[in-house]
Amino acid sequence: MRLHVVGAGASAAHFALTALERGFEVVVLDVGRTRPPAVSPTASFGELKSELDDPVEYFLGEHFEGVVLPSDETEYYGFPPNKAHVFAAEERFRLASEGFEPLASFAKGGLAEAWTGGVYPFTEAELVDWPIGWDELRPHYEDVARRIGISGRADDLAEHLPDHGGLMEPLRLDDHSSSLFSTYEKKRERFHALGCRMGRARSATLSADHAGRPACSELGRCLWTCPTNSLYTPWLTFEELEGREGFTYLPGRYVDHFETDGGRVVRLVASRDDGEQETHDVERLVLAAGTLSSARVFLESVRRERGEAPRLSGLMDNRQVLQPFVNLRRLCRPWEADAFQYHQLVMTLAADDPRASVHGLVTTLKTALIHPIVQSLPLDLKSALFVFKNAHAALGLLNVNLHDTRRAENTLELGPSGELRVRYVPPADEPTRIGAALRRYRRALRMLGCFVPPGMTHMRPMGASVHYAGTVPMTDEARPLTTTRDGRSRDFENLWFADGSTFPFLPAKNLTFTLMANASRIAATVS
Amino acid sequence: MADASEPTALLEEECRVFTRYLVGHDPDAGALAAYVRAHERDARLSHPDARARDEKLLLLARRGPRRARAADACARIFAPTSRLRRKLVCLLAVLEVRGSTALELDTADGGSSAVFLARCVLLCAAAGGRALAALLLLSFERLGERG
Ligand SMILES: Cc1cc2nc3c(=O)[nH]c(=O)nc-3n(C[C@H](O)[C@H](O)[C@H](O)COP(=O)(O)OP(=O)(O)OC[C@H]3O[C@@H](n4cnc5c(N)ncnc54)[C@H](O)[C@@H]3O)c2cc1C
Ligand code: SF4
Repeated sequence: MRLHVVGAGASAAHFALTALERGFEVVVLDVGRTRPPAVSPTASFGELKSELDDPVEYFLGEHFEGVVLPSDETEYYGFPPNKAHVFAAEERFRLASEGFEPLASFAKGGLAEAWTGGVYPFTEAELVDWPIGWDELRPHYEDVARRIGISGRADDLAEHLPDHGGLMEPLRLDDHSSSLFSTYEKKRERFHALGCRMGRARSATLSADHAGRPACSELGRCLWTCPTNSLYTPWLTFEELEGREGFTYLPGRYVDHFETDGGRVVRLVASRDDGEQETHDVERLVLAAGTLSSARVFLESVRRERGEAPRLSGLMDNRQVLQPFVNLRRLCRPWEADAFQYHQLVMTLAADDPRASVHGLVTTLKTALIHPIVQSLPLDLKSALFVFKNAHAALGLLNVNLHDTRRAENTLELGPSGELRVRYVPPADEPTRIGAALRRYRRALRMLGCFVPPGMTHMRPMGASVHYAGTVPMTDEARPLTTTRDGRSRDFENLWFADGSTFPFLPAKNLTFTLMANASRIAATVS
Repeated sequence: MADASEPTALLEEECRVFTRYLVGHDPDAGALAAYVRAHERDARLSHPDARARDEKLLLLARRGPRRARAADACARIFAPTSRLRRKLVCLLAVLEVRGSTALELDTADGGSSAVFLARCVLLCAAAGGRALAALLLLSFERLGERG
């Protein structure tokens, strides 16, 4: 029993692992750009600056591409040079977009090579539009949690983040997060009256040694790719899979389309990096190339087969709004250099409809390249440096995530020259929802003793959260361009979708944990 | 040579002045070399400004650390993406990743928050004053050129 899987991201990793465990022979085709080797794996962020022969090249890149120069662009990602492979453009995958700023990755490990490791299970209420419920997903959340190692705990957020089992103890809280959390605990009743709850983040980062990987040693290098692999990425799963019998990884393959005999997929057509085309005879095909790329492979195949490609609708993504804050009690204090870099706290807002609750990730500023922030202050650099260094320990960012629903106007289709056209229009009530959420969050931040600088709230463009889903939804209602509850296509009987394409609803939550659990669930039912 | 209009010696001198402005002392050899290399490899740094006034801010800044600060204050408000700002931000990036200067740039002074907040207010006023001074300097120079 052989399965061909397209892609080597988070979805593909956990699909492949479960399928292999079930006795399938698994062949993964992937473009497969790889990460550079880790440098000085035991050095902290600060130590690297003194220990490396050329810290300028490591941090800023050979061509200084890591320097964020003043420009008129409002959205910058500021990824370090050693993550260039994650976002390197792929000329065979062309995009045109309207109202959406899409990101795609062609790396072994996919977008999660650059993720921040936040892993948040969906609740029963958030799954009401899904044809499956919590009971069907829970065991897969637990399996994935045990595979990758997730730190966190059931606390005030238990209703929002249900207990699926398999959690490790939370990571040590950095000083700033700890002071915010203790203020919350003292004023808990007032926060609850506001419908706001705070709890520990769930992170795919080890708080204890696990499966041959060491616990996080607080090197503060998470953004520059954790050198000890304490922070999970799907790349690790592929490294593990490659040694297993029955598993074949074929990098350097860009899958363009599949061929069918009308009802079944029979062949996969890929181009290699040297430009040669190759075909693979297929028994079962699994598309797990990320929502956008899976859609392109599907649409291109249908176009070749039927002369015309359909339009896929229902594309979803979480709108994110960034709210910086200053914790006035921490001004002029030293900042903590050796600490986990990413968010450690979560602040949620309840809503009458539990599907509309809001999810806020609280990141306190620790290690970072400072020039992008310093230049943004409305002062000369010398003055800005004075302000920044005395405020560094007090700075934080709340990343507010809003839910999204499948709507007909948000579409993916093929353009005349094979490019994927992405069109997105935000929901009409979005400004009201954002305004209401921000007002409540600002009150909550003030209750935490934080100042919210006016005029610095930043609404990220759609597409920036990279939580793409919803274009070939799973449903119990049999109709074309959908899948069964087990991710099986209704258009081709031996085709499965195992990534975000099949999500019928996107709550205000980072989706990758659910991508992995759902992919594993689909693999558990493939026949 | 980084660029026909910017010989290495000019870039090195520029780097010295700007480093004195930012951290109060000369750059080490590594920072100096990195600054020159940045100009060789990143065309965004050598690309001249469209407006003559923005280029003049760069000329003003090269004349010493104090003038660099005044020109920077002015550029931050009136020419935030100018070549001067691009060069200064690039130098800041170089200095912050080098062990010898990283801590100087990003270590809190300590002391009370009230004093800090008061100093912030003064700094804002002073930065405004410097920006104005730079504008005046440029205007007088233009008058001088005409006269
Ligand atoms: C900066 C950043 C931070 C993030 N933080 C979080 C977070 O904290 N929590 C969270 O839940 N999510 C986070 N995300 C989102 C998360 O990374 C993605 O949702 C997730 O990785 C998607 O996984 P995927 O496997 O479905 O697709 P992808 O990651 O897009 O993987 C696609 C794979 O398919 C391959 N591929 C694509 N097309 C083809 C083709 N035609 N032929 C062959 N191979 C192909 C690629 O090489 C790649 O291996 C973050 C994303 C970014 C960018
Ligand atoms: S997860 Fe981050 S803080 Fe922890 S060891 Fe890795 S790089 Fe260091």
